[in-house]
Amino acid sequence: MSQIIELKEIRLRGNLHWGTFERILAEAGHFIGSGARSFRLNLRDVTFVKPIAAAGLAALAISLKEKGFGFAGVEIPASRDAHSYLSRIDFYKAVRAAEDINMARHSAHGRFVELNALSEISECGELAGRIVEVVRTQIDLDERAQNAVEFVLAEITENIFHHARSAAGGFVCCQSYRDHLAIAVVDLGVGIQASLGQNPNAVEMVQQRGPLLAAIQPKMTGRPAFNSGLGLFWTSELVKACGGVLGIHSWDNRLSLYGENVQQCRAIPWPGTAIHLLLRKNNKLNVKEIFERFAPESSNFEFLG
Amino acid sequence: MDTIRLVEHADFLSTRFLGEIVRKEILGNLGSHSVLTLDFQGVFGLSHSFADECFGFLVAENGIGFFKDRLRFINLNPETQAILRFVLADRLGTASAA
Repeated sequence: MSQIIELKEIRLRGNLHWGTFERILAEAGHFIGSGARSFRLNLRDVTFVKPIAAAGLAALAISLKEKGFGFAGVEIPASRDAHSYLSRIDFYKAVRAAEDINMARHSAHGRFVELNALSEISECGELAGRIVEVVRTQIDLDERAQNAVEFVLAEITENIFHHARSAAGGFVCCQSYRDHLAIAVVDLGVGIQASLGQNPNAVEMVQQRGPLLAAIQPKMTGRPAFNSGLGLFWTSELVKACGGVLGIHSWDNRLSLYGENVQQCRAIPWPGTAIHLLLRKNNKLNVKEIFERFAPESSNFEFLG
Repeated sequence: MDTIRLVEHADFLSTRFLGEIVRKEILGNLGSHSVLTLDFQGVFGLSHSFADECFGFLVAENGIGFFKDRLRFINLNPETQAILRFVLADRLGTASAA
């Protein structure tokens, strides 16, 4: 007779970032496969956390809770820096753990936007505005580049609601570093392949190129009557322009766009879509230039000035 | 009201949700005015989704003549102009990404 395991740890180690994102999924898979009824996040040996990992871990904890697993809290990182960071970005609050009690708080002004759970579409614009406040305080970004960042945020956060149909909404956070900005948008929705599968015209492209490479092509949408299918396309164009990174992990597909170079592969399934965005602060972020490539000036539109 | 000041909605106009609100506001005001001014003073940017939901749907339903005859756009910055040009061209089938 097999013994029922009540509690099992999901134990993570080292640096958690886009390159190690699958570690989180592998550990979650081990937990689910163990037959345990409750989980505890053991982060004792975590030394460094990027926004995509914080958002992913928070979404994962919420996902497991929604599946009926009990949550026995978090073992905080021994690394004071890692614990302090998780506390400051409201990770413990997001997973509804009590571990940030008595942790010193610091003003987030100008450096990061805490983990935010998005549950209403009307919140997207406001949150994008808060994130751009972080960007605006960076002296090495001009107004055009700030504009580009807000443009990208508006497009990818709105995807959570239009395409992902994520009942649990999503998590968004952002951190400004010396030379780049890292943004994470994670949802627990149907995923990009299922979303594009609603549109028969997109299916052929998905079969030829794979769902994620198809998703960054223009006019790829599961809802052509309502959406234009250009959000991820514009995002990828801006990433190429600034030499940044666009990472997409959607169910069992994973794509990494490093500047102009793209890698796509199968991956350990993530129950939704996770987007990692790294934008370089080099002022090559220019929405105007990108749009003009596809719609040059024309006398038809002189009324726009 | 013969002028809608877009900045009263946000200094960065984003989401289809807001685009639909502004589109309805434009159509509502055109019921009582032959020409409506859309003032972008203070707006430093907009998203493609907002622009398509608001202005893309308007041009698809009413044609480019409606824009030329009944709407007056003022104080657009170059980024906003570029996005609007693309959205209108896309809905009219003349943009290269279309």
